Amino acid sequence: MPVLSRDYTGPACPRCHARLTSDWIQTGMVICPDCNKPFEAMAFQPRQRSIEVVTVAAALTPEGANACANHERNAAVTNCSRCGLFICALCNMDIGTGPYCPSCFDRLRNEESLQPAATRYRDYPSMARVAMIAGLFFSFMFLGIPFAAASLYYARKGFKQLRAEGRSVGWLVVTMVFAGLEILGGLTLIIILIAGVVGAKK
Amino acid sequence: MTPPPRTLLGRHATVMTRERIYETPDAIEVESREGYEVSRKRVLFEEVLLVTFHRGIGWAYVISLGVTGLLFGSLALSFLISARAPIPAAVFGVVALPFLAAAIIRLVWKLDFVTVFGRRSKAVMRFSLHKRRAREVYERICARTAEVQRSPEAPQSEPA
Repeated sequence: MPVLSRDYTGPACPRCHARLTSDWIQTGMVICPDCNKPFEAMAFQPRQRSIEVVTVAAALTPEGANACANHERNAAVTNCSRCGLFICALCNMDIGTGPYCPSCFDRLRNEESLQPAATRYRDYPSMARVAMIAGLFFSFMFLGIPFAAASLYYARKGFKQLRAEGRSVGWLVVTMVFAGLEILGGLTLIIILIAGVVGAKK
Repeated sequence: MTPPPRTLLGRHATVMTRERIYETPDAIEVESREGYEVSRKRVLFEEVLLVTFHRGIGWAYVISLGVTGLLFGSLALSFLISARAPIPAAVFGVVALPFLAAAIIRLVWKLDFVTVFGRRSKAVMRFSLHKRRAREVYERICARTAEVQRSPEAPQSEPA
């Protein structure tokens, strides 16, 4: 489910969220023209992104250059590392994971194979923790074992996630230890129960 | 590929989402959590247009806590005055106190907000008690943005 948020339309008053026109984007103490309340601001003028595209005709090699698969007038600068297509600077989707053509980039992003491009994911460490705590609460109903199993499953996925992000796995280890104890406790409870039933029959 | 190291700058929580804001070498990273879904967006330093700092109260928070505190407080008073029952009055009084205290603390201390507006997204951080930290974060973001946008590696001309 998408995170609910206002559509972003550019700099606005941080108090009343009224859009600020370029006249009001300035450094110093600014009084919002809408709510008349002050805020401190530091304005910047970022440069535009530029991509240098070389045409096939202007390519400096004697034989010319290979044309981009998507833009026949543009000279290719590299190959897509997945499909091998010749791509120009405009088509080169490189986010530090190697050059990809736009369609391969889209596909890999949808498959969540490109970690730096991932903008949405599940918080498996939290899921593992909640399943472990639920297991503790419901252990008296013999539900500790399934909850602990779910916790271990999520923890396994959480490990991969945290390692990929270079974050500490300390809490996840604690969660796994507790989940293990829940399983042991649950099994012990079942064994005691069975032993009690068998003992009563004798 | 290991992602770049990041430093926690601040938090911003609303009714629906909780956000944690980090600084990475090239961007401010906002992680929004809604249940178990985490969405991540970045405000690149090279695209920052405006960084603002202001102090506010957050009236919705104060009013909701104040009303709840007054509700329990009035129950405590009514038990004390009309029913002359000090124990229930004390219980309701104790329940009312944290709500009223939180509302008063907010009115006195207020909230510091640091907002970073980029070309395509923004990041908001709020600081309740750490006023010095809020100022530090504001200045740090401004300095880092200026540094990145000054550097020769930053993009220099209009797209072809």
